[in-house]
Amino acid sequence: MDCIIIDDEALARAIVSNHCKKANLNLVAEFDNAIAAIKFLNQQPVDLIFLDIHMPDFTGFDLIQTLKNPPRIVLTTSDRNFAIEAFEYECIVDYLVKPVELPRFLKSVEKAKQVKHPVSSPSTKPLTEVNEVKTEKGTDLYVNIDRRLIKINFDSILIIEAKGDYILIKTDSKNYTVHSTLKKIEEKLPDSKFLKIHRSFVINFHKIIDIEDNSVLIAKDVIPISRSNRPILMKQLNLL
Amino acid sequence: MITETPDLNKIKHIAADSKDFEYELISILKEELPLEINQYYLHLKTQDFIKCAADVHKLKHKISILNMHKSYEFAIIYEDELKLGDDKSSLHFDKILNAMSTFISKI
Repeated sequence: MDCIIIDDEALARAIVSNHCKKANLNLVAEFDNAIAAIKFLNQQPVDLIFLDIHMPDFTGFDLIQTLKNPPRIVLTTSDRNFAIEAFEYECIVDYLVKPVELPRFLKSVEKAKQVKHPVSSPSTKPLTEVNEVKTEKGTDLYVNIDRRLIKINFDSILIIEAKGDYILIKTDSKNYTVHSTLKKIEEKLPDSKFLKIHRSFVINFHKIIDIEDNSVLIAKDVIPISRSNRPILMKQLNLL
Repeated sequence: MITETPDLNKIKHIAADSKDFEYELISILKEELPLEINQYYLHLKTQDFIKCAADVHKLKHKISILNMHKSYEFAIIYEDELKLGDDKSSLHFDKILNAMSTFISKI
């Protein structure tokens, strides 16, 4: 069985790595963060992941949500009271409390071997292909400002920000304040370009300059990414 | 509240009969623990209690591997308090961290 370890703690990785050898598992890689692991999994599927739940910025659960066809996963955690959230995922076969002891580890591996893969096979497709365009919504949006219908090209839109009863549409050349809600405008925008990354922000993700921890830079604006929306954003990116 | 004394019994147990693996674990512990403690104090100083709680969560593994059962239980409660923005137990947690730091500096 090919497996990887994802844990930001070197001590935890060392213990699980040692146990993998004793269990005759083929440990193909270790990662101290989930983003690096996602890039790897895009190229090389594995049978089993030993995954730490509690990692900064991008948690184990974020990673699971990002994977199209997650392999079998054994969670590792410092919590004796296991997170109830884990039971929502079919791919999670077991959990281990740190520090992981060998007998318990071996039981977990046996359990993983007995569980059939939750889906046919691990995805070999890049994650960028996960969300395809759902609907065609043309190339422009008309907004009503002072009794005039103004045409805004989708490609020119950078950010849309909720401002109480109004929304602020920032474009390459001009900003527009429109009496509407983010929810209403979201329905008019193509999924291939726009994404809600925070309760107050929808962005044109083609305009992203960079992403740092929990924010994105678009033009001169730093936009926060909410934890729950970060995995969805990561799916849209063409990660190298 | 009495502070527990750390020991290497759990590390020896996990390493089983491998002295090399035992030394490897101790070496990683000596390197990683001070970094995690520094990170915790940095966040405590800036009163970023959510990050402090995450730091305590991470430290729980080290507390557990040093076989400090009562301290582990204390850390669970302290982590929850920090999540609510309460750092009143920080003084006792200092003592736990000091005991761990002193211990690993001597091994």
